[in-house]
Amino acid sequence: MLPILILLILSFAWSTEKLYVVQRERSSLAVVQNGKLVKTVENLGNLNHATLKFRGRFAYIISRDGILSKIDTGTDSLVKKAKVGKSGIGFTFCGAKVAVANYEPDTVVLLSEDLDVEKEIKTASRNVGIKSWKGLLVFSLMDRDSVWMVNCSSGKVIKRVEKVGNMPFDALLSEGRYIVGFFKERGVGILDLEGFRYKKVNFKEGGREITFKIPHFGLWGVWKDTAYIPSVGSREIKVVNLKSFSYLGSIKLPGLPVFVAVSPEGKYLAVNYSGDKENYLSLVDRERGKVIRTSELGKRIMHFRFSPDGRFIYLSSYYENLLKKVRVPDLSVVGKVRVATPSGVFLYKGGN
Amino acid sequence: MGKVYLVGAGPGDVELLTVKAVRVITSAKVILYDRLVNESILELAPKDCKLVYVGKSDGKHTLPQEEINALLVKFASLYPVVVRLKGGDPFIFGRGAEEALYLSERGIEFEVVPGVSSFYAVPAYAGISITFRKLSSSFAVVTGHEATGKEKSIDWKAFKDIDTVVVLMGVRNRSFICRELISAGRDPSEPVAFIERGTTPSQRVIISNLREVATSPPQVNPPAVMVIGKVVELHHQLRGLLANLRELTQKQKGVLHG
Repeated sequence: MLPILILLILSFAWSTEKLYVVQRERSSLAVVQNGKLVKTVENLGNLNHATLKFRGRFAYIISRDGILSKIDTGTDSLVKKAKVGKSGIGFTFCGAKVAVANYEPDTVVLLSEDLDVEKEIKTASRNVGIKSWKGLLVFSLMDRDSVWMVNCSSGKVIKRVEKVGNMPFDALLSEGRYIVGFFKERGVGILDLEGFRYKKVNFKEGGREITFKIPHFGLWGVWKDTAYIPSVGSREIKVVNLKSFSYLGSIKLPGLPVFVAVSPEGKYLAVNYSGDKENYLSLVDRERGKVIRTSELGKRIMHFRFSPDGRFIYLSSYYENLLKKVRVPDLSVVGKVRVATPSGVFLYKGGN
Repeated sequence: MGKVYLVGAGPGDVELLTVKAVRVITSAKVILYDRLVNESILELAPKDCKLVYVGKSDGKHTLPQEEINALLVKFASLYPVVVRLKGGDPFIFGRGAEEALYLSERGIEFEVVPGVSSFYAVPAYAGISITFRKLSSSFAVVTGHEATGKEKSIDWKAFKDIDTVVVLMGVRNRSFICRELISAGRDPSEPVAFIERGTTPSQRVIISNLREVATSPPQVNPPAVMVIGKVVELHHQLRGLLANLRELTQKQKGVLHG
């Protein structure tokens, strides 16, 4: 009787949320719903560090080897695949288009939502940090130290900002500002998209400039104006204000952080680690800036995601071949689904 | 005057010692050994053999090279068989050739016993073949130790079109190395593997990519071999049934020390 009861509790623990979990070693996406693996979408290319985004009822995923795939979330079947380059990991939606930033070849590609290629913009550079803002496409050119803006409808380059900094590698969009980080330079560049003004800033603490290494922006947790940056090489989260670029302090951690996420209501931060704490996840009280719980929840936690109501965290435990559902804030495991070699976890919340 | 053997101890697994290395070690009267050597190799030495630790780790010298050289000469005057045991291969980033030159200049007979190098053996134990048809027809091996040193002798641009790059002693400078390789024109999404304590039962593999290591390097503990290139992805396909380490762990528990 007890096992049946546990099974019932575990199955009730899964809500109707739908999760797409990257299985990078199988070139496939596992679809998990109601605590069950319901489908696998296969042959999606090399999914190491793949990016998945939702648009209406469709999921789009780009592989490391330049295959952009469109998946119908209603049937979880592949609608179309398009080869958009040899290597690229960034894409965004802009108006009714999908825009891909390629490393190789040196192009930014505009496609229709049905994945028909409409325009290829030659940049003579590897391209990164592609974002869209009010009908504009903004991206950085790694090899030309530039930021370009493109009209999404016409595909025409309307603005070029040169000498932005030494080798831009990633960007973040925050309240009309395109914030760019560099491989070979400390500090960040800020492009005010309203006024087309560009400046470089370093973070400040009490009026004094401080520099620290900046990890790529996909790893940051952002809540309103505050960014929670996993520190490079030290066991802490650096807290900065994105408006004033003031350094607000740090949150001490038990391990070297990889990825920081803010819970939907902003109450918590969750963080995973590399190295000796790679099996652990920590929950941080965001306002107090203190770790409230650290638990061993897997065997190399690759990625995780808060549920939309913030009551749970879904995490991929790579060496256990499990997707786990963990309750917040006690971090107790309330559900498990077998997913082979899981990495990125993406949550479908319905049409958006 | 005795003879000095400059012996490669291989990457860690005792069974990767060459037959000749075993023969020389089992007849040694004195062994001068490094930090990277699996110390269970020393159990092969005769009971009356003198064991002298002269180990060097990245940036930390237990004994300066000059003192090691002088010790070799001193022991050669006292014992018939002197073994200078070095991790991996003595002539690959091992300063073995410097010791050979020193002995040669002083007329002391020596012999080099090459060892299995970590640059290919460690990746192999992680399921990574550094050459692979259609994926990798060239490879380069480079030390990461000089990366931010004063000499700046490494031109990272030269590694742009090499299919597979293996970096030894690169843990400390891993982020710098990856930035330089991206700057040289390599694909930022190219996979990178770190294999900690390779060919030992505590081997651990960390897979990342150039961009990630350049900006947000994963924790890696030395000693580790760093491999950059598409062949890294073979690890995922081969690790499932790769038995090297399983057998090694069993031997460690049973046969080797049992």
